[in-house]
Amino acid sequence: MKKKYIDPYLLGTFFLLMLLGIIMVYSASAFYARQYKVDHLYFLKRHLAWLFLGLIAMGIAYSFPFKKLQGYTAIPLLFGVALLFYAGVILHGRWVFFGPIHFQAVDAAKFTLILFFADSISRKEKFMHRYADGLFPHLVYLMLFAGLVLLQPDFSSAFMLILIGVTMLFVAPVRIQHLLLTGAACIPPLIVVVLLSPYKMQRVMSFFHPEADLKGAGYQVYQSLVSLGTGGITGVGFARSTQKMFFLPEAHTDFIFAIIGEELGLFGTLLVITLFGIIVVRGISVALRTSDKFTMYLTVGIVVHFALYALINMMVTLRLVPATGLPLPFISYGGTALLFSCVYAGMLLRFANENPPGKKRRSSSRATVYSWRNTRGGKRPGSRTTRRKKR
Amino acid sequence: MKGAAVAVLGAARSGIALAELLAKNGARVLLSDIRGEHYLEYDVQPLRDMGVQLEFGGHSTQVLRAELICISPGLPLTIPILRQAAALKIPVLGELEVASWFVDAPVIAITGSNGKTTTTTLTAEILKQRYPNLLVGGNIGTPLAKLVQENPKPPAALLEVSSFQLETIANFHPRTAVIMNLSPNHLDRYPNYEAYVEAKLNILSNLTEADVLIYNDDDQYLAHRIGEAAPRKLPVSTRGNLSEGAYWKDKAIQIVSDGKRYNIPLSGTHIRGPHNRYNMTVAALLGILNEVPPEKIRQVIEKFPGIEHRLEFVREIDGVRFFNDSKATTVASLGYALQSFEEPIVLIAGGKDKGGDFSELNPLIKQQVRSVVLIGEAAGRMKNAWEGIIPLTEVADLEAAVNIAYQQSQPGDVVLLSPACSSFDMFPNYEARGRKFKDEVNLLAVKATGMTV
Repeated sequence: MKKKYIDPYLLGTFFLLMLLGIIMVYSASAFYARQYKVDHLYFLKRHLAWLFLGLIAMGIAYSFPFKKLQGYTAIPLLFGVALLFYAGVILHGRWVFFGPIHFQAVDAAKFTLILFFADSISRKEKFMHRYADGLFPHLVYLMLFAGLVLLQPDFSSAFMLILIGVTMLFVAPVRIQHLLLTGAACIPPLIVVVLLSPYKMQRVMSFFHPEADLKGAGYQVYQSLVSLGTGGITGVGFARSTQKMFFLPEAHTDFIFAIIGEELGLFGTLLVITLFGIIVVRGISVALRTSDKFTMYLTVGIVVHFALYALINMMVTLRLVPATGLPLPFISYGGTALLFSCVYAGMLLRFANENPPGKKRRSSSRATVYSWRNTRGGKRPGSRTTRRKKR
Repeated sequence: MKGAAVAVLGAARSGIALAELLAKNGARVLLSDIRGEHYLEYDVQPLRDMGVQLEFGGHSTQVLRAELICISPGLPLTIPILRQAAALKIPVLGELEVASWFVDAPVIAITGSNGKTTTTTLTAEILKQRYPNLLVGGNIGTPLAKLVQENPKPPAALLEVSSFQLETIANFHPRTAVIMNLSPNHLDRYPNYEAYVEAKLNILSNLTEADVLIYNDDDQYLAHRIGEAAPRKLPVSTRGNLSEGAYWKDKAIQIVSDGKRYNIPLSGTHIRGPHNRYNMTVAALLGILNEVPPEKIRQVIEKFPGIEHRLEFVREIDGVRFFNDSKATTVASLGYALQSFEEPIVLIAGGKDKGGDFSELNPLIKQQVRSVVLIGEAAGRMKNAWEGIIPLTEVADLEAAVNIAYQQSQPGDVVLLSPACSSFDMFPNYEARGRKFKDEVNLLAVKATGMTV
């Protein structure tokens, strides 16, 4: 490791999020835990245990020489596929058990996919603009993963996998037309899938017509809005939410953001948004200043993961998107997600360390490739003329 | 069993389990319940799929065409259909008896008016050190008929048995029988105390000299009643030395058996009260008889948290501690509870009147209780018994009782729900009453502190 640069913003943000997670998981779960699990600390204890493991994992991720994985990421990928196959086809569920430990298969698989994509795209950058051997294979891998996840069935996670993969591909110098066309081609089957499943249809319908069934399908999101509204600007006070007592289901998991809104008010919710914003900004900053492509794509994948999960989770509680069941990183109660969030945090800190700020900005890959094609009229790299992107 | 026509009366947990067990063993089963199908708590469709005949809304004469009638413990023998069966000389046996035919292991049976559940649960924990696959059940939790299906070849069986179950036994033959004590209970089901005692003592009917009977030596009436019973008798006492059996002395359990002495010192236990000393002693004795090392027994007893709804600590609010003793359905139980605390008690009592004599407790009430809040049917009789001794308040429901009890209490006090009655006038069972109490206390905590955790 080079000199000890640790991005203070990232580190501070991660710890603040973890801290917020601890206190909110307790507040959101204690009442419920007393009724159903006798021990009011039931969920808190498990959350802390996973967080402890997560911190160790974060340390390992920070020290792990990821660059050495370049070229070998197909191995973890195979594990990922095997894990998803085991979960989706054999167990037909989300969780996989290894002895007493159970964890969500899709989180581990996502990790392997991000690693693989980063590796593969960074090595194939030069011909990513071609469909056949550039974009298409990656889309196939992506669809394979997403398909296996869909078998569990886990529609939301599959969707997120695709989003993360597509964003990584977008950052790569693929032709936008290719992406758009493929995307457009996927929409009809998607619509068919939703139409065919009464459960998903109900979620979508409930989203568009929330008043139709406020006691049934629309209940949870309605209560979420009540929570956020009750909080007002300063909130009702820590540990004083009444919504979580009888009204808001999944208060400690998917809807914990609503409880933050109720107890800590607008201050709390803006804090959460700001913290994730900092992760995004600092993460992109790392991506922009690193000269190693592998690192860059990894960082992109990680930032997208955090940003998308946080964004969609918050939007669900605000009734801006239909309910998905996706957790708020670091804050929602959920062991596997927490563990991997810590791993990603460790990775980001490592990449920030490897690429301390102050180095000159590297131009984007897209600009590089466009410049090749413009100077040579062909697809061969030749001598690179990198052009600074105009600000 | 194959091909035998059996009628099972009562489609509650034990009835359904028994019907399932018999059907799996080839009997032609008719399950009959007086309630309509909608009122059942458990799903009977699996039984239908097995070929069991079901009838609801009453017991028809088809029941009388059976070779054997089995009844659930809740059913009295005096209902019309059973009187007719008796006239026709059709054997009527209980679920415990019939299920025990399928148990191929030595049985330890525990009965008595109080302490059965705690002792059975604690003993189970101790015996599991030696027999991890121990079959535990009976009056507790899962009915024997269900356990037998899940665990066909256990090393031993530990059963809690009630007087109701013992009314309808025939060959039930435990190797070790335990009678905890005798005190008035279920006087709404038995014509008098004597009838209740007779039912309990049925446990002795098939015992031989090769078997062991453990009993409470401090209960003189019990010691007198078992008099000349056949099995080897091991007394248990909390008062003093015995030449054989088990007794409590100086914070330790002393056991003398087969000429050998065992000493089990206990430094700190979760369960409290003089009655629990007795329960622990019995459990330890059963452990020694089954070759569990004394050190293991000591560890298990010290760690034992007690059972739910039995002097169960709920939480503390502003220095006032709340205890859930919903399982205290007799006067004797309440008596034990009152002896278990040094602090002043605000008592919540009352419920379905089982005919106990509440004035027996007057000295204890005067000594230990600050005030009483009364609920349920029995409130009137309790008021008559305790009027003038301590302040009384009658309220309509448990929710109000909890709130008023809290108001009447002072920091350092104990608020105790120990109803001395059964719960059936206001709740489906005592567990529901206990849970409601705990919920109300938790809500009270929220109101008192403003914090919803």
